[in-house]
Amino acid sequence: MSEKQISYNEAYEELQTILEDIKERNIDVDKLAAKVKRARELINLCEERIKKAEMEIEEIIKSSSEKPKN
Amino acid sequence: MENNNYREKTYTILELNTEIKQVLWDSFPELIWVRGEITGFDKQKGSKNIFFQLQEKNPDKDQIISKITATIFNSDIKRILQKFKQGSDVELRDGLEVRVLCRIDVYPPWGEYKVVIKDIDPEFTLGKLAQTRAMIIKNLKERGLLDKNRQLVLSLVPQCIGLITQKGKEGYTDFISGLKKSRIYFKIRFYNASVQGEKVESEICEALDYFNQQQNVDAVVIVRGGGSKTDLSWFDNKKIAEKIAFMQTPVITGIGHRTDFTITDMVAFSFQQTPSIAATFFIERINEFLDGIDSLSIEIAHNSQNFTKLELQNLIEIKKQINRESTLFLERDKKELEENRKNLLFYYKEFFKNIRETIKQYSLRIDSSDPINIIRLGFSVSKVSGKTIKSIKEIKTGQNMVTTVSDGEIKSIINQ
Repeated sequence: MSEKQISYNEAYEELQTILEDIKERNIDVDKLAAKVKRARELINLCEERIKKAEMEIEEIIKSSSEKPKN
Repeated sequence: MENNNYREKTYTILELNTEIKQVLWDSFPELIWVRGEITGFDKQKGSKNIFFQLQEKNPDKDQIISKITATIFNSDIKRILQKFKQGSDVELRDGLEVRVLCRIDVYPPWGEYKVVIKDIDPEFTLGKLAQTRAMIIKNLKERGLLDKNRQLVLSLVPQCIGLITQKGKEGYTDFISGLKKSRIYFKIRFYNASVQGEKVESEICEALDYFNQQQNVDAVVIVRGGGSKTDLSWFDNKKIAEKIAFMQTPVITGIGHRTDFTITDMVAFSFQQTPSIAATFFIERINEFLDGIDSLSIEIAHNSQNFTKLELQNLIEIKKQINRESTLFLERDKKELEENRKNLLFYYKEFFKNIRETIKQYSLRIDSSDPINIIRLGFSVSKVSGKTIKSIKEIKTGQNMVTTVSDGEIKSIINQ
């Protein structure tokens, strides 16, 4: 799955699945490191998305409050 | 001549009319009250004396059954009209029912008799108007027309307004300048119509028809300036009320009065007291919308910021959990492994302990079945010619016998 195509919700759901798998011990020890690595990637991706959204929202709020009111 | 019953005297026309006048005067020496409906009043043009007719209609058929000419002399006009206006807030006009104090008179040059009005009873007219008004209201109510226009939906931003009023009058300027105060852009489509006098009904109806056909405005407003002293009864009009009821556009009124309201106001989507208050109504409606979207946008901004904050918190939480759980995962594995090792050790110990026990048991059993152990107890084995003796029959006297005991062999000869 390409990281650019994955949506925030998909990434978040995958994170939850990984967490469940670790909690429930549904995975092989051999694959634990790979799963944790994947989780870290997903977390970074989600953080980036949130930051981007935050910045965009701030920009929009700023530009709309600058508009003169009738 | 067929009829012999006649006077000798031959009258001139003037003589006849003068005598008729005298007869009428003799018959009606005092003033009398007469009631009837005014007609032909609106048509007269600035003559010194006022001339019109009073008529009586068949109430069922709306048919004129009798008429009389009426006049108000120049010298009485001001007094009578002013008194009537003060008492009723209504101006004399066609269609109005009046009760007049008058005397019967004949003008000999024309040979016509008429009533010369000396006073008009405002109370009577007011009563009649109220009666008519009540009947119109009842009729509209029965037909479900009273709140038909109110059931329409007024645009959230009624910027395009169809204005019905008389150009140049206070109503027009009050409304327009009221709108201009707001700095909101309004598009006005103006339709000129009389708001006072006999043309009110036809012109207002025409204007309403225009806007209903065009469907080019968000709302129609009918305004009139002038305050409470002007004649409101022009707007207690059934036809106007019906037109408003069947409009597909909300109609707002600002007919310029403070105390009472007309049938036109009653059927309107919203009635405002004056033209400038009607202007405020539109401004407030739009401001309300603007305020609404302002607070909506603030709320959206606030909520979306909270949204990302919450997502970030969730993410941090899941990050912590994954770190903790993955460490725990390994620790738990290690622990299990250690547990297994311990278990295994215990198992081995047990296993060997059991094995040893079993071996011991076996060896005990084997020991007990070894003949040497029995011999040790004092038993012995005797053999003759290498053969173990189990019976007395197997031996003979003189034979050599070897007896084995625990610590050696005894050799003997059987002698008996």
